[in-house]
Amino acid sequence: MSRSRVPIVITLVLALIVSSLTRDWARAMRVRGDVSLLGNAGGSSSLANMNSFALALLLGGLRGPLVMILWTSSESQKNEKNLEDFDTKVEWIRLLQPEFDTVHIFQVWNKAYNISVQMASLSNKYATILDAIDYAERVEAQRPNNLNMLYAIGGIYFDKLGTSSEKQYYKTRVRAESLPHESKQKVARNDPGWRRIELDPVLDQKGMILSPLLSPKVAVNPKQSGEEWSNGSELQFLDKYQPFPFGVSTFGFGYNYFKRAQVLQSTLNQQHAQLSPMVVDSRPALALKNWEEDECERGRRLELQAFNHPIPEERFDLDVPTADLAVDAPFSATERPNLLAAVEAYDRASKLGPDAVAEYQRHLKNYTVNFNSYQSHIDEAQVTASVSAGDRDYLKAMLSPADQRKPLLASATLGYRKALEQAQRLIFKYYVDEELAARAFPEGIRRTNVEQLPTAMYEPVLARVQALSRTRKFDPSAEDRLPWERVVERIHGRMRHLEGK
Amino acid sequence: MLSIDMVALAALLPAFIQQHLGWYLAAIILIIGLVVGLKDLGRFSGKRIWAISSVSFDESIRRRVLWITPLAILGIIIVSQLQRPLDEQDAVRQTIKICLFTTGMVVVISTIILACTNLPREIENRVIYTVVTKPTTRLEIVLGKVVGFARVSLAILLIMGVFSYGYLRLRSWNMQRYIADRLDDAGLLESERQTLAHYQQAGLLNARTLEQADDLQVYAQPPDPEGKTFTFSPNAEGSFTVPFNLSREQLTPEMTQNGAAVLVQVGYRNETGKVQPAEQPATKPATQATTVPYYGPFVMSPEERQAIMRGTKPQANPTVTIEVLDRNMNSLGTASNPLTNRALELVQANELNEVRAFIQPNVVGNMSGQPTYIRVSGAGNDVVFFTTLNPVTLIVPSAQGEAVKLAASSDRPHVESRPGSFGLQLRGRQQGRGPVGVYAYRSARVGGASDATFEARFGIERSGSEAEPGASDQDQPTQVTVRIRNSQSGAISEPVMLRPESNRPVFFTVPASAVSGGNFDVLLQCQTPGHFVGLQPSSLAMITSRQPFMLNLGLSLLILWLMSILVTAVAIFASTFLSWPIAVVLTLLILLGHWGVEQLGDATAPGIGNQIVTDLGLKKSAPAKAVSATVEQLSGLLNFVSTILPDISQFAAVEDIERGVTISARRMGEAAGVALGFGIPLTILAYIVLKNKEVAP
Repeated sequence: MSRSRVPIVITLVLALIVSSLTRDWARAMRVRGDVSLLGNAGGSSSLANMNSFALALLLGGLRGPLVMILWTSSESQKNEKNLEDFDTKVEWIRLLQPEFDTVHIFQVWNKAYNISVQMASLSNKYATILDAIDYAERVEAQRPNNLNMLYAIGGIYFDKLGTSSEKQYYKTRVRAESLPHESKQKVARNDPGWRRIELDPVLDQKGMILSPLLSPKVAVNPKQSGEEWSNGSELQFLDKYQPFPFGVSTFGFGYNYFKRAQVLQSTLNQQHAQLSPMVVDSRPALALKNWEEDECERGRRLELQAFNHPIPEERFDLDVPTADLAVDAPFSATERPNLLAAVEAYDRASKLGPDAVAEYQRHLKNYTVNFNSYQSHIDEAQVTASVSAGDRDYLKAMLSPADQRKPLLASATLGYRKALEQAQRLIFKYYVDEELAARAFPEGIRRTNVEQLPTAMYEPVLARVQALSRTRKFDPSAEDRLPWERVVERIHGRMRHLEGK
Repeated sequence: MLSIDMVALAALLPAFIQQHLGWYLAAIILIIGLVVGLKDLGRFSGKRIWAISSVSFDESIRRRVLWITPLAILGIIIVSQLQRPLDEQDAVRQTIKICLFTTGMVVVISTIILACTNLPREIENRVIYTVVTKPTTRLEIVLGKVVGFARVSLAILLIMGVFSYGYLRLRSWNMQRYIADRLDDAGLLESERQTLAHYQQAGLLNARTLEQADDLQVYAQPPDPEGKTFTFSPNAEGSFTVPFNLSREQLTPEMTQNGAAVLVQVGYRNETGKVQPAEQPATKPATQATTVPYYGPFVMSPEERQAIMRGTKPQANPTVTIEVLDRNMNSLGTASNPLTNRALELVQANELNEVRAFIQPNVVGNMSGQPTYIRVSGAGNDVVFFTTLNPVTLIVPSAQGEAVKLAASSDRPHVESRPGSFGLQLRGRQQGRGPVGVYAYRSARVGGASDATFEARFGIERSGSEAEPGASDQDQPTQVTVRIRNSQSGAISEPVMLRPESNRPVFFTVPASAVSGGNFDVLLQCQTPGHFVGLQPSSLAMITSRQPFMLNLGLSLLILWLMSILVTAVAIFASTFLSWPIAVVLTLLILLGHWGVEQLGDATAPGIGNQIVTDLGLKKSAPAKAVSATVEQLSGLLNFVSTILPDISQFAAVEDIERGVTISARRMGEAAGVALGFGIPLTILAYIVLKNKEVAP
């Protein structure tokens, strides 16, 4: 080596050392802001865990153009509805750009929404949505406690599986597959031919969450013990709702992941790449409310099935068909398990309601600006919880011997009375427009001070609202009021039996 | 300036020469080459060429070029593990693609580097002295190097080919095991079971010859065996078209002044096929000019007025719409009722009605000099429309004032359904009440096997509003029934039930007797309400024969080798007058130029100059004009240059083999045409340049 090259070699060696030091320094700074990153220095040896700079070097600086080609090609394939290679290209994009959360957020959404709708059969749509969850989980596995991915997973369980037009099929499958079952997938998971076609079970035979899904990944920060804290376990926030003898609702999963994301935001100051902190903070409450309603709906469906009623399409049509059921109404012995499951569903709904209210209150403490938006949610959650408690006790009484029914019926009466008041007040507050309210409410009572209306007047005022509504050509709030009128009708039906009217 | 002159010069050339400019240039180069190298051609020695090629080959081996193959093999194995295939066949398909893509890349890159660096290095280190001082001609040197590097490419291709075949066999074997496991699963979806069973039986490494249908039509009801009645669905879900080809001579001044009349034979009947009771038309048929109707001063007919007075809504008769379309099936205008300008009503049920309508003069003017179509569609509730042979006639006035009838260029109407995202829509209805897609095979090559296998790939759309109640709660697969009607025997095969998934292949087998003779129709009906099966001409193909996969792989590698020969010729040509780095760039430009311009698409179309001016927001006339003209000239230059550059998309080594389709002789011919058509002239150019270059004292 000539003498003139020695300084160059020394400079290069020094540059390497300095770059290594600055990289460690930058990482330390990141970790200070996010303790969850501790011990997360690339556990597995996959391509995605390869240092970004090393990957760029390996590809001769062509990583960017390669991703660009893959991206445009996969998007044009999607538009042409040709999905061969699509998943492979998306996977390569993920591997080549492991650090870009916006890429992952897009691809998760892309698969769950744009790609799943291109399938004809519901089972293939469902498998594609699960593939989107898998994608997010693969990213999350490489960078645990990633708010963006947790939120994306929560969003799929909540929005796509819980509220899309095919939701009944999805909800049934999620619940069934959360229970122990034999895998339909015969191909080994590490084989390229493997595709997710179902969820892995998360519960054991007793309905308890499998222990690996509850084992903490991050030690609780002693300074913050007592506060909400994400311990990194997969289903941390479902722990308190165990057991799940009839499986976990998709909204339950949604709640778990939304809650993990919200806690990461509030305790570790992680921020979503695209959404405001307010949105992330509000989701757990919304998920809990939907979970409560879902359990209530499940109870209704099981009840209808047990008493041989056809199951209507619309959710609000479920309330009335079994409203007038006498406590000693006969049912087939084979339907007893359905009624027991309905009791469990109502019981869970009655417990989820107060939790949802508490979540809303926590959120509104942080973001008072949302008060008007979510006040009706809180009131609705309370009505659903009360009516579910009444339904639970009423069904329990039906399932019990005649001599043991009395306390249960008394408890059901309390629940229904409370629910009736809450439901009527809810209607007055939110589902009667100003013009109708001015004509139907007593002097001095408006929607804003409806609490001042004596509860004894609720019945006649509601009857007046309904009578006046019928005389109108168009009632703008009639459609929104209808589900709650059905709840009132159901309670009236039950109260007729309870009070012997 | 030179470039703009070239464009201007090119613009002066006749269209035929412009279109085949590359071939003319090749011929000119060949002639010049013959003139310049006639003497060298006389001394041409294959032995010397082989000797020079051996030197190039040995030199390449010494440069450890073959070491690139283990790296490429390693890359293939790694990348294959990162697949996310849709199923087992897709896993194999993707592996084929990865293997051949990598092989192609390795061959092209190594050939470019070797061929571009060879001559400049030999000149630089004076190795060339030892060659040129021998009794070898420059032509032999150039050809020797082309042959030498072609041998290197062949060696790489052989290694990669052997590896690819072995690796694909291993992968296919592995996937077959998974297929067997999945088929054992009782819970497997029926749609997947059909496809997997076919893969298990036919294997995953395939080379099939496919026969496409000659025609696709969608009728409202099963087609008439005699081929005289053609049904179509109402309410924009069906229509028929008839082609016209009016010459400019047929376009008389009377037509452009007065327009033309169109007569359409069309009828309707109840959807169930039952005869409807003859109803008194509620309104006077607008197409029957019996007596002069009294319309004024009222704005409605007396019948309509009476109906309103009675408080009843008149029962409307089914109506038809007649539309004139251009060659691209874009609307030129509609034909209307000449008297009332109202909808064209059909009066009589269960029989053909003659509908008369008027085409405006400006529309008739646009009909001449291009193929045009007349499309007829219908509207009505619970009815199907039907028509017959020769359903549309144009009546035009002659110079003598007589009515002249002009027949369509085909006597058979072409019946279609509404086009959706995936092609012509086949609406799902239960109990065979839905429309029928008909793929017509005429004089098809039919294999000698006992069964005939078809491959179908349909796009499927769903409509929630039409689905049955509760359909969203259960997985309701799309069900399509297939029957074959043999045109010779008239026999209709037993229905086969398919459960296709959108855009995924599904296979079915029918007895060979159903397709014997090669003239038959494949009849498809969707049985699932709320589902729409999209049909395209290529959605269905009959598998007529199978060849060994190894042979197909060999053909694919042969295409890659032809490409490497072209790459060698380009690289050697560039390296005769440029240093090697610039030669590499020029080689890439020549090879990718045509493809690059194609990728630009509309960006090089005429009018791009004005678009750029608008995008830049240039308001002043002078700069706007200058920018517009410059951009137009540049895009013209790009288009011109691209016509004389090789089209590397003709080296389609992957498309067929990955789909399991036999590589056809046409494909091979296209690849050979480009390789030799551009390779030979460039080799001659390289020879001319080298002959005139002083490479040794």
